[in-house]
Amino acid sequence: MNGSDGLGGHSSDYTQLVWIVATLFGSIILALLAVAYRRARSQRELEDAERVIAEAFPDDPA
Amino acid sequence: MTAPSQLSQLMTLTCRGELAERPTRATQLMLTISALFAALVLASLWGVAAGSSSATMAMANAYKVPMVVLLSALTALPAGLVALKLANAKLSASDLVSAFATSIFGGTLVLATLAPLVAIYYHTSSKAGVPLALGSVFVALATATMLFGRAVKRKVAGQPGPMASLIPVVILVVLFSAALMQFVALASPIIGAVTPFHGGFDTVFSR
Repeated sequence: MNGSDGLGGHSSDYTQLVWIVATLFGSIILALLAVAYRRARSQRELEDAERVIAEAFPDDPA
Repeated sequence: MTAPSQLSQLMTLTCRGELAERPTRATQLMLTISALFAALVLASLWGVAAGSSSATMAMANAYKVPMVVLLSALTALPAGLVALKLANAKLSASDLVSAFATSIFGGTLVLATLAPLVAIYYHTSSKAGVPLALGSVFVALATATMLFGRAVKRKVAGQPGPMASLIPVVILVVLFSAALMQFVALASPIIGAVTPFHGGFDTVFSR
């Protein structure tokens, strides 16, 4: 393996490092998406509960 | 049960481009994230099939291929959102992201469907294995592009200036493909043979 085995004339070590950084970034995004999903699910459960209450008590001014 | 209903909604959204009733913001976000996560699982299946020539490569592909798909999408997305704003399109950003995620889901669904064929040819044919693996990627890309265009077209149907909404679609598809080419090169080897894509842009356009 010589010094320019990687992409674009860079060394393979450099290319490997770029891949690791990109993978870390992707993993962080995945974790953030998982958190966003949980929050959206809670929000939807709340909306469902509000809808059920509104249907059960249609005359309630609150 | 929530999961089958959500999968059913996801399939409806992917096949028809929109749901019968407009989903709430929370539901739309859930469906978008579900589409992306499901797409990553499906891409992983294809990765295992494409790398099945060795156990190490198959295991590495199980995370490499989904990561390549995710990173390509993340690379393309900001430009698509900026193009959406600059084109003054009537389509909302959440609708664009949702359509993008479901089209990626559709594309990876095609990849996963072709994964057994890729695996069997990979082990039984020296001529057709690699071309079939590469061909399945192009078929998936074409399918995803078609689904994306159709979903956006349906969302803006009846609104003034529908062509403005197609500009971010074109930009997203082009940038996704461009990023995919480089991330595939970064993550290589994904297929156990040298392909024109192992060196990214430089080897694809070397002539």
